[in-house]
Amino acid sequence: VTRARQGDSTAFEQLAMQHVTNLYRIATAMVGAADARDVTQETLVAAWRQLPRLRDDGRFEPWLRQICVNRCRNELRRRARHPETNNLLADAFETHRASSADPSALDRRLAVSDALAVLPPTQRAVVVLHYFVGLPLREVAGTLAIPEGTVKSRLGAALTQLRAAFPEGEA
Amino acid sequence: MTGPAREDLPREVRDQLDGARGAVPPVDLVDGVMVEVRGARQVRVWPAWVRGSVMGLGAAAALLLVAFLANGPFGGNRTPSGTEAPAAVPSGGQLVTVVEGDFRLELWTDRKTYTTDDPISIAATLTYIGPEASVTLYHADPMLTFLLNEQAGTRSMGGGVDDVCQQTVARRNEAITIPYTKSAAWTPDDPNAAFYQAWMRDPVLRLPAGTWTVVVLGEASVNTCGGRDVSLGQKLDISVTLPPGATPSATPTASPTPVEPELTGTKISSGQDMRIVGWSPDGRWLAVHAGSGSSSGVDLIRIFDAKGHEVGSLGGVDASWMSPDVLAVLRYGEGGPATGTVILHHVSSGLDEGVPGHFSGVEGSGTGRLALTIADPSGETTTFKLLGSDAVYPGYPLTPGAWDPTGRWLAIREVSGIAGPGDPYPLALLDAQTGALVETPYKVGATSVFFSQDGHMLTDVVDPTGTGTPVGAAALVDLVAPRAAAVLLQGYGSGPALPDGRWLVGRPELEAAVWNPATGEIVKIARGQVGVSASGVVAVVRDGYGGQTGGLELNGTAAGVEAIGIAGSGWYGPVWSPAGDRLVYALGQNAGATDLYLLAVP
Repeated sequence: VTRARQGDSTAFEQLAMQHVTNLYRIATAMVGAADARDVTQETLVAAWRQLPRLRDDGRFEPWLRQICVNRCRNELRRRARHPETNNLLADAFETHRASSADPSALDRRLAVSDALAVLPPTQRAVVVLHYFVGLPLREVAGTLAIPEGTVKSRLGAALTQLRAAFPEGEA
Repeated sequence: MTGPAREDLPREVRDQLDGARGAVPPVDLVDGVMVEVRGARQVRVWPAWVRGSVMGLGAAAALLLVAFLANGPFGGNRTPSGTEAPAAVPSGGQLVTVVEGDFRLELWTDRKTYTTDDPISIAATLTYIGPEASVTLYHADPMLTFLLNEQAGTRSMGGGVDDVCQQTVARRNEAITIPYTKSAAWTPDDPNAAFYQAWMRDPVLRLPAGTWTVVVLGEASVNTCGGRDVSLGQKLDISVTLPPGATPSATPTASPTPVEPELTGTKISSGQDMRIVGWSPDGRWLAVHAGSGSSSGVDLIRIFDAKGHEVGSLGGVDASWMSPDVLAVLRYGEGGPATGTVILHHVSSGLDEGVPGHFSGVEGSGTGRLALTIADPSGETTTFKLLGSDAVYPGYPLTPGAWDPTGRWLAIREVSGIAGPGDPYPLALLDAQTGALVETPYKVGATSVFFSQDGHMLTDVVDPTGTGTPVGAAALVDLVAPRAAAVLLQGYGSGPALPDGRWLVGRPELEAAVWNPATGEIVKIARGQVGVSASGVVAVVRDGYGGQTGGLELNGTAAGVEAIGIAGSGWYGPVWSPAGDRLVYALGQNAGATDLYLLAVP
């Protein structure tokens, strides 16, 4: 990290290789497979450019994750402003094509994507960081720079909305 | 609390997340990143006045900047002196390929190694490999742009395009060959300007000795003008050596002759994550924050006297001078910012006063006023108040430096609800004398604000033209008429005022500059961290990144301002004492450790 921070692009490439899979998975969970590549790429380029500001090498991974989540939230906000560019349908179509014409798979994917899409970006970020990345609530709060109490309230609100969308799926 | 169990999620959502858990990134994703990484420079740790919307621009925007410079008001241009693409890569040449969606991009050179006298042949091809017989591409001119980056130096040429919407029909499996075209961009005071001028005059592509990275980038939209349906990049390295018997002077160069700085302060302290809060208004005390500012861990506000002797410390995550002897200190409780408290610390006596309520931010005027951002455990509102008043306002004060020097005006980001750092919200001014909130026509993200002694404010605004274009600008607002149109400086970050009506501005890809709003003149003065004294002396903690020294004439004058340079590569500062006789600055080390230096200026 130190070498990359000092401008060594080869060192940064090694870091990128090490973290790209986790970032890509977070992005997939947040914005879907269709935009995960772009978001991951933007995250790593932004990380390279901002790396000199990282003052604690030991915080590189959470710092990188924070950039990724912020990029995902930006993408979700962009979709909200420009719904015609929403890639969820394309994403679902890819799933459909890959699953060799299983209509139920397409329907299911569309439904799930729609349910996640109705969550505000802030709630979706909390759900993904806690349930997908597995961060404790305190670290979710730190990543999103919000109080822990806000994390809890957003998780509760998100669960309420998701249960309303999937009443039969409640555990 | 560990939060609700995963089983609380509906099954469909769990399936969705499990699916993402198995996602595998495309194999060439990192390659694509590295093309952009090597085509763009890292930002440096700029002072707060350069941070803002401009800093958030991505690599693509940085490339646009290069393109603008090639055709803009600075020196530089493109010449149609390209080389012809051979039918096949000659023996000894190089070829690299990338496939993205329905397109394949190939970049080649005729050799791997050249001498400085040898002509160099470079070309690239773009091939449509999709299902249609043909598609129409809308693109800039040329369709592909080339960059030449010196690996061990600072020279970088290329990227020049005309931002027009040209059309090219791409037929399936037919390669469109784009030969290399020279382009370069520079400002008149660019340390490499002489080299770029000489290099552009040569109709043949030749390069100085060294290893150079050749980058080709292409963006286009398919069947409609606008957008980025196609975005490809590829790169390779070539080596250039001196011919036998030649001397380095045979190659035009214009490396800057560094002038070593002469001044070095005295280290007064070391610690983790030290950030300069500021001098007290009378210059008697200096406050420094040590710690990460998180709700976990120990954060201290450390106080030094004017000679650098530590006179005390107290727990806190942020602080601001309310008056010459009173430092407002913010502390987090167990719930983080939601349970923050504020105490007023009287430095001379050591007495502390608590302020009733929970707060998440403090901003003192230095003249006795204090703005307090109100903590909201629900996280759904952002409001603030002034100490001693019951009135609550939406938003929060921009920090640092939200108060004008008289302590009357407070710059506000008028947030309704919760906002991300870059979200645009109205910029307003609170008149602390009357309690009136005065709107301006502009919107800001999380940014800094600077005031002059003559009643003006400079800050970074978002989308100043209201076109939805995410381009930032420094906006100069007249406090007498804050609703009137401001003087805008597109693409720059705001900075402190000089006493003569000019301002320091900057942006990450270029050096700090002096801006004269009356004439529009911008003169680059330095690469590094910059601070301005009340009398207008500019101090620069030199940015030693990559061995570069910048072009500042240290301990002399630049752009008509007196300037002094300080040894070292800075993280924070330099911060002048109010009397202009002392400077404090912090130098970063690895793993967050920071050394704090104090310099007495003759």
